[in-house]
Amino acid sequence: MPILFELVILALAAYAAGLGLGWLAWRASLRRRRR
Amino acid sequence: MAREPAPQKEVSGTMTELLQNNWWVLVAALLLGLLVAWWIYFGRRRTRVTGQRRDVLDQGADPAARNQALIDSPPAAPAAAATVGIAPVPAVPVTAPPTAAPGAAATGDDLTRIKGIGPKLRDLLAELDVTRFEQVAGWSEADIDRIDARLGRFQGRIRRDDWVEQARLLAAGDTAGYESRFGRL
Amino acid sequence: MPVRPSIAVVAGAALTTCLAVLAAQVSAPALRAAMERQAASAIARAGGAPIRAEFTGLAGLSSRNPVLSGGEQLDDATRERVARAVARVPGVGGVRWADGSIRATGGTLPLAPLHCQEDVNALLGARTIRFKEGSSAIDRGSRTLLDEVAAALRPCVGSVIAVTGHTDARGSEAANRVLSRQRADAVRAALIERGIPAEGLRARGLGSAQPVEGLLPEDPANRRIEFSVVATMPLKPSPVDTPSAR
Repeated sequence: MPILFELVILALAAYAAGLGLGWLAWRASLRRRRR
Repeated sequence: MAREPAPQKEVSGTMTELLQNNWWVLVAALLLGLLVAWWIYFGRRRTRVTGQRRDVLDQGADPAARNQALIDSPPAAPAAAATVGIAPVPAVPVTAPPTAAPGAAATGDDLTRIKGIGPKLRDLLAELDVTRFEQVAGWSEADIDRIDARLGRFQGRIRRDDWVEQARLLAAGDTAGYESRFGRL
Repeated sequence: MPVRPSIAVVAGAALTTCLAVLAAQVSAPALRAAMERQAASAIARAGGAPIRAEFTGLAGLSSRNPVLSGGEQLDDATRERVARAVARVPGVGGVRWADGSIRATGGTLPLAPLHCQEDVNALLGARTIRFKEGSSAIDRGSRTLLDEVAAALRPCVGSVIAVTGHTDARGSEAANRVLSRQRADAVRAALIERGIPAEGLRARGLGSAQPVEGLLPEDPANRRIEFSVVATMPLKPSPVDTPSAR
């Protein structure tokens, strides 16, 4: 696959990972607040 | 099937070269993802969540607030009417109540003091010739059904808010009893 | 800010894509030039002079997967050597030939199939795997023997190994068959625990049908577990992973 495609896919994967981490953090903060 | 390690060494198509040169792109993308997530979940909390809260819980807040204002505003009209019977000497208070009662008929009560009755319902009841607390307090079940049928979209209010009881207490001037059952006037 | 969250997510993804495209524009030419240089020197060292490696992919963009061309005149051995050399260049992905068919078979790996059989027979000649009376539970004392058998069978991984249970002729034949099958299964499970892959192990029970040569069927020495290496199937790495002549 061209280098460009590989880079784009890797970058989008990292972006999704960031979103996922943020969502997990939000859930954790919710739990802390509920408790 | 198990693979021997030998063929793996011959194939070196890994991405390490690519990553070594461009790792910063991945870091930036990760940070961007975190930023967007932060903005969605934490950045908008002030406006978004409280906005929804107001919608869901306070659907009846405005009419209730209006009711409360009207209930609070007339300065002791039934109290003055009660004192008319007790102390007929001061002529001034006798003339005060009819003018003090806002928008009511000359001999009527301010029905908006009943919780659940606003100006619209008061006018509706006035059209049906209901203007005084004693009238409401004296309603039988048949009367309630009759009036209820005329209320249109306010149907069911009479029994739900217990106008009869409220009117009875207000007609008797029993503010303490009223407040203990229905809350502050 | 009254922006819907989904819009923010999409905007972030678009920004990420732009960033990646930018980085690719900046770094791809240098990476490609380096790979081309190293591939050229690798080809020269492997002796495939007319072969050229093109690092071009879809739509003309630089790619990590080179296409080799110019090797029509050379023999397969040289082509394979060149392909392997180019694949070893750091950063290079899969190697393809312009005139190839991608239907190559990778080289088969050398195995020593029959040694396993002899080793196991030697082990079991002196000792047997013992079970509890009338059951298929393996005796504790046989554990080391099973370890050694597993070690002896490991070079034959990829072949089909038959584990056969035998009993003596006492008792009903049906019960003997069932018992021998259960014991063979127990030994198979024990071998799987010790790391022999399950696909290659077959268990069966023959009861007293095949007594040891020279012994009467009622002889208790017929109670045994036998191993036989039935077939050897060489491991074939898939052609996509292995650079080869085609």
